[in-house]
Amino acid sequence: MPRSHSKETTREANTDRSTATRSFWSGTISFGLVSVPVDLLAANRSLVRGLRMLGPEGQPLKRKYMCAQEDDDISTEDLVRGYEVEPGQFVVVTDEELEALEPDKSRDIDLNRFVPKDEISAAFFERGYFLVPAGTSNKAYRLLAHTMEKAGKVGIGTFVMRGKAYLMAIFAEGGVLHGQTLRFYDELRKPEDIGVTPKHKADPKLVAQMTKIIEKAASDAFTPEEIRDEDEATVRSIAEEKYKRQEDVIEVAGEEADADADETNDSEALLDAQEGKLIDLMEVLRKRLAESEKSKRKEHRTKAAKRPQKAKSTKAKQPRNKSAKAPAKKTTTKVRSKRA
Amino acid sequence: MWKAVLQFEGKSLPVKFYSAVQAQGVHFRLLHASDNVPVSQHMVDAETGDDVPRESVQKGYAMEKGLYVVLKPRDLAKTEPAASRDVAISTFLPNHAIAAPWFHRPYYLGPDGAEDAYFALVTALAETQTMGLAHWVMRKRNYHGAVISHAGVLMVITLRTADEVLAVGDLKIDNEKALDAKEIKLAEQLISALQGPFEPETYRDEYRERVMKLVQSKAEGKATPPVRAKPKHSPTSLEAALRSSVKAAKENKVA
Repeated sequence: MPRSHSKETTREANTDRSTATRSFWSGTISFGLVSVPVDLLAANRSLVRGLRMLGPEGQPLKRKYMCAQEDDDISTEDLVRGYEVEPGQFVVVTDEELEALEPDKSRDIDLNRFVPKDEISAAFFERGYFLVPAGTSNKAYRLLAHTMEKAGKVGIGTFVMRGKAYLMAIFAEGGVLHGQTLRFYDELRKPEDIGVTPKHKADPKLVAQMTKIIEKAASDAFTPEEIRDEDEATVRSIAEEKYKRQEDVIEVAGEEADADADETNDSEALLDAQEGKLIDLMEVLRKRLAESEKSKRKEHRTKAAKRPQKAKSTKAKQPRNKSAKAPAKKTTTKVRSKRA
Repeated sequence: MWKAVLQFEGKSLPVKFYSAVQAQGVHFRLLHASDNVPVSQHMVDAETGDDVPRESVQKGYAMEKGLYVVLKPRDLAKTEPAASRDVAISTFLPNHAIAAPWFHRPYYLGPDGAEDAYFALVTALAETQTMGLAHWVMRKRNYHGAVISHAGVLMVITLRTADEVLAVGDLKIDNEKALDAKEIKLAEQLISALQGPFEPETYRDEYRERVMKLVQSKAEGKATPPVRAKPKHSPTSLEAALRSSVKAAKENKVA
């Protein structure tokens, strides 16, 4: 169900949350034998209502994992991942085991099929990403974006990120690549699964009537302003009213910004457990683009002096931030990212 | 299943909501390493570490950093929109007027009587290549969605709100250096060699399957030696890479 309420308990308390997003993931788009290093940045963020959990006296709270038997705090190092094979019976699976199951080129988004732009039903769309050029040259990136856009095609590929396999559609628009993760076929039910049989023949007279109605109410462009979060706006206005009356106002002295209050994203969210910091998307993008421009110029210069340098840009790129560890480890991101 | 009524241009069409998504992921529980017992999550006082029972947890709306207004249940009740079964379509948009990152969760809308009108709408949406922009209240929340024709039936896909979708309109990739005409030609050939229809059924989550296999063999007490595929060789220049790729893709197509 959308907007699951199960996780609404702790909300981002950072009032400047509008610009915050997760750190990015680096990978490579494989276009035939051409490698295009990219960074993935989330184009979606989870719904955030400015609510934070507080204690009965208004003291800030945090989440802790406790063992039912020992009634004790547990640090994240003492946690393992278990699959329940029978009620109460678990098979423990380690990070190393999961990592070994990853495809060798898990960071490759291998575009092995190009489909007509409008052929993918929106029912498959899961999450959006920006794909920005990484590495020393953006030439292969631009070539791919340009050619895809001209051909009116969307590239499809799979890859593994943070302990989950993804099917991704890559769209080119205005020279920029956008990624959209897609639901796997078996994750989408068929009409038959819910007991609806698609009837193929509709009464042409009724169809004509419906068409007339549609045309009458049609508009050309989508106005995003129409799709506001009214619920958040209501919550805010009630909070503001109470604040004006100084009713139920609590001051938390010396509070750290986003301390443990940001765990609202599900495991699909781009979340770098190792760094766990919030990054301003626009800032990252601008920096990245400026960097690629700078390094391109630099490359230009070195190339003039040393020819073989050119080859570098098309070589299969190794995952760059090795320090960020392999993605398979992140099946339990929610826990691991907790800063105690 | 939830009963609703589509409202558009003075027409009403009764429908039934069904989730169109069935989660397939491998679901792990977190266990305490020492005894393999599932752990539970508790809320504790950030300073003292004392357990705070759920009932006494309050919700604070952050006015600014460190300054909260506590919202009591009666305040929160005021934020709930009035319950209604109406799904109001405000307009019909061309199918691709809404960018992909807006789409969130799909629901099937099955007919609830009035089948003739239902299938007429399915057909009309498909023929006009439009979707209805809908607004409704469900589970005490406001929703927005796109009503589309999918697999011969109606579907509504909830839309994220403007706050949840990042728009980077002015994003520009530096392109002061022109692309090489020869490389463009090769890239075009490669795309055309790799083009085809979108066949979602051909993609399987093989990683998930491997994880499940591992879990099963571990449950049976078997060890599983990890197997890794060999990395492929990469050619050295962009043009050479494109050339060999086009060749490989063409051979693949013939084969």
